[in-house]
Amino acid sequence: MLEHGFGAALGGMSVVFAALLLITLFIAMLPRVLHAVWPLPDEDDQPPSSKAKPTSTEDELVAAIAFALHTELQRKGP
Amino acid sequence: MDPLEFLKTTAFLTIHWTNLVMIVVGLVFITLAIVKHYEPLLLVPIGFGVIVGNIPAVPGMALSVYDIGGVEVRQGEVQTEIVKDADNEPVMTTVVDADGKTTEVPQERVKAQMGSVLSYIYFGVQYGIFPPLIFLGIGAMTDFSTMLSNPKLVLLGAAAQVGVFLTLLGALFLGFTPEESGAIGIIGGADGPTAIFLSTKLAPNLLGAIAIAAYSYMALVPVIQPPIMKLLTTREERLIRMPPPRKVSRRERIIFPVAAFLICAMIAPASIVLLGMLFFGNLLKESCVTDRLAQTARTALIDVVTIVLGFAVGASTQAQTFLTPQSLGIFALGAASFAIATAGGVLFAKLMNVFLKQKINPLLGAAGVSAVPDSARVVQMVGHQEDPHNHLLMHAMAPNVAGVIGSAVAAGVLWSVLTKSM
Repeated sequence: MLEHGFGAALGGMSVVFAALLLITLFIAMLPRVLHAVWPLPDEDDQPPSSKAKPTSTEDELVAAIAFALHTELQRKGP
Repeated sequence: MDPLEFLKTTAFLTIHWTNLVMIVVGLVFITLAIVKHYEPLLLVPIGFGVIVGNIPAVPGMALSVYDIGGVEVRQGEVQTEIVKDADNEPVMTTVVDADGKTTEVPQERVKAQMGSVLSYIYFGVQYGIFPPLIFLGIGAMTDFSTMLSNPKLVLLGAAAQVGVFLTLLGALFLGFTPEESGAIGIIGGADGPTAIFLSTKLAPNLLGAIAIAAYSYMALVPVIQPPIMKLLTTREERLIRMPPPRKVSRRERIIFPVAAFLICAMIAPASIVLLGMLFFGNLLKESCVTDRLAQTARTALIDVVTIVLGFAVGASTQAQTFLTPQSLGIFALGAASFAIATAGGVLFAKLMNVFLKQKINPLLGAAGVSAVPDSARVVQMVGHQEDPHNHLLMHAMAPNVAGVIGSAVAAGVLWSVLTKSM
């Protein structure tokens, strides 16, 4: 009985390792495969700055006033 | 009412000292859960179930977990058949026990005395229905991102399964049958639902002892693991810091559960019940289009199943079937299994470091046993004791969830190998 047990234990451990090794390899290759096959940028992968930010009129006004002030201060000098 | 007759039905006269021992065990579980916060979600239902299950049943009343249709059916006695007459009316129910002994129960008795409420709850345990539902909930609450960002840590989840297979050998050596040995070995997987599932398939007669052992040791993870982890690692190793994990894309998180299920199911088809539910639950979560289903699976569903599973398992531990030398052997083997699994994970991490440029903290190997998330918390705790600025919790979740997959695959392998008799 025990010698059969050794076979079962060794075989079982090998199967568990084989399954998780395949998962490891799959996970390791997945980003590269995805990049090659499906190069669309993932929504989650986009850096926040690359996403178009809606701007309000108020923001534009503030930017214009800041620019005008900056230009005026530059013209007058220190 | 005859007071004397009533007195004869009270538990004061019928209770055995072994029942009292089990009631104390139940109280210890509840105390550990409340005072020490050891797995309270499991130990409170189990502990109270143990107390309920050890109140002696009143003769002639269906009260215990084993009272099914007017006949008390012990663990392992699961085959029932209804015998019908020429008019297709049921006349008899036969119950075949694990030894092949047949008991015939007249239909009048079956009708007059239906099974106990506890027996109906226990049905989900006895037939392995609850464990896959627990796995569904676990899948819906598990984030595989850390594992996906550092794939080599998956192997630690495989290494920790060495406890399962070495304990299988130990149980065989002690004289347990191959089926019983497989069911005992899976305690080393540190996964209660998996242990229950495999016990129902291989050794239903040991279900109570195996379930209690598995959940007890899961609750005792913070006690069992740290000494082994410290013994097998140097201070320098415990101080190793892990690089921050990379960001995992949504596409990877969606593809993973489907692909991982296919890989595991192809290799070990017997694991599809547990892993199918685990990865299905995870797909519900990651797809982001079934939020309601994922939310239900990880909250209401898993909570309900945990309550009934824990309570029913506890109630199945009647002293007459539970307090046996065999149960003590199972507890001893379970402890060994847990210790070997922890050591296996830690030592494999050290072995990996021989070949790796970027060393991994070997404490992470201890999280390969799938007691989620307790063993990961223990890794964080032990690492934190050496260096308060070393945060290992997130990294430990990778071998931890890999351990869940590994133990389910191990259970599938044992089920398919051992049902065909060795």
